[in-house]
Amino acid sequence: MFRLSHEPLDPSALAGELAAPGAGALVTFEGWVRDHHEGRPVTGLDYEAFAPMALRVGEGILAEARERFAITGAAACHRLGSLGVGDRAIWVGVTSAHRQEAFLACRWIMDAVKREVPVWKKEHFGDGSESAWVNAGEGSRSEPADPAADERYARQVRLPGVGPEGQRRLAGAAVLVIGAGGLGCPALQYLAGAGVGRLTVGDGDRVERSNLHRQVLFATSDLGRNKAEAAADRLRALNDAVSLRALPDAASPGNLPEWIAGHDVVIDGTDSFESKYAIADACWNAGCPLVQAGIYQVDGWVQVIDRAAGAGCFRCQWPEPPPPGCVGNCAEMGLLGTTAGQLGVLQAGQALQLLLGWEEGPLREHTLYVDTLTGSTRRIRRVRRPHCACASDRPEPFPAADHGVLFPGPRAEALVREATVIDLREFGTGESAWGDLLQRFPQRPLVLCCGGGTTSRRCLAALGHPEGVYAWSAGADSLPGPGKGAPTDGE
Amino acid sequence: MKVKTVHLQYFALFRERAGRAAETRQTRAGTLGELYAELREAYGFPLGPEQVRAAVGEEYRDLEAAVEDGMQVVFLPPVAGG
Ligand SMILES: [Zn+2]
Repeated sequence: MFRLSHEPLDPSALAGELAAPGAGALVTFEGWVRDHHEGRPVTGLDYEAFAPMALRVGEGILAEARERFAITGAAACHRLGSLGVGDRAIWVGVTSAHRQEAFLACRWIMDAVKREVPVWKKEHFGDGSESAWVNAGEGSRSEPADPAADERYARQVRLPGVGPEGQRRLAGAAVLVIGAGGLGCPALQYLAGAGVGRLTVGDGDRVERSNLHRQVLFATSDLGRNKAEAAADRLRALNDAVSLRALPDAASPGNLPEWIAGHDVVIDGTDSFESKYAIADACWNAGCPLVQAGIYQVDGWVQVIDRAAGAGCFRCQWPEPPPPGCVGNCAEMGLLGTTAGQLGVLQAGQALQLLLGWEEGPLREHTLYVDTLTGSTRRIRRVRRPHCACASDRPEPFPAADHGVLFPGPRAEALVREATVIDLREFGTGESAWGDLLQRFPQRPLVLCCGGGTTSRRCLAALGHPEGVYAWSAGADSLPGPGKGAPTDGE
Repeated sequence: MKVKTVHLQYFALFRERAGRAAETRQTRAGTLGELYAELREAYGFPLGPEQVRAAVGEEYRDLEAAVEDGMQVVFLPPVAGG
């Protein structure tokens, strides 16, 4: 039977009531008042209940337990009133013929009581303050339990720098992983394992047989499935506390702003220069920290690009992608699955450190180069590059589609030196002033510049991105040497 | 120009093309750019100097930086595989 008691609970008396000739086992559970709650010292607490309702719900739970499990008896008693640290708050006892059923039923009853019986508690804290009256249970069934109390994360919670607060931070965080390939698969596994609350996976590819040696989320039976969807299904099975979303498309400058919105960290697990630049630009525009990595045979690198750090953007380091075809990709060059795995796990580690707010760990100002053959590593400091588009005070210094936009860098500068450059400030910044620009300046290449880089891009768009016409993304001050200056009419 | 000894490390594409992870080399190159040109000639590196970063110790260096005797240099190609 289910009871409420204002008197201290007496376990032997309660157990005695369950005695029965057919009972071969007694399993009991006791909940005690502990001296801390969410990191605050607790000196005691008060319990209150609306007795008729609490008793009815409690009896219902015990009746359901007798139906669900092969038990001979079940009882529970919840304490009410003022309790001190160490006092028994609840007692549950179950008897059965064989021990297994009693163990299972006792746990099931305790969980159900905690979840459903309306008991209210008020905590007294060590500093003399007290909490408001709150439901003593874990709330309704739809409300998630405290992740910090989940045994699944016990080893992680124990680590200094994580703790219950860190675990809750992870549970409240959202990470977007672009590319569920050799880097993305292991990164996703560890993020799901760590209890990151929301994971979004973006990938437009299908699982192929040649992927399986390194893309370890996928089974042979996934062949032909979209990678984002197959990965999300597998991750749900790994940790059902994680909310998963699959985006079964390739990342592009067009969809990236929408993908990135609402996420705390992005992991780039893609394998082309094109996607790496598009993702880096979009994350910079969004102000979202980005964990990048790349691999070539046995070597790899990993780094964090964070607008909030002082080390500039990806284009500060590598202003433009190399010409197509001169650096091979993994399909051409071959690799061990473990190389991708090592770098992908490093990416997941960087993401966790960012989410936990660790200051020293994340590679926000360095690139880590890893030689997985010998195990040697090298950290190289990154710095801002003067005149990089990221130094602009525009909220979105990188356009969503960069056709014809020149970011300062060696190749763009070489193009500018060959080109006719016109400064739009000489013509006025309104669209009406640009009507005959292409006729007045038939030379190609033609580079448009302005004071800060916004007008030149706006003009390029207004002109319809004509062939051979470019917009300098930064201010005219940053243009490379000869070629800069006043427009030269009809050269 | 004086002959200098440099300790080189090769990463990714450069390791593959040079067929080695490291070497100690005598050079008359005055700058890192000249040193890279020498290596590009020797090993057929497919990247122009504008696509390459050089690092000395923990820092990236411009290719205009002077080569010093005993310097430890790593040339880094862009790497996007995943
Ligand atoms: Zn930059």
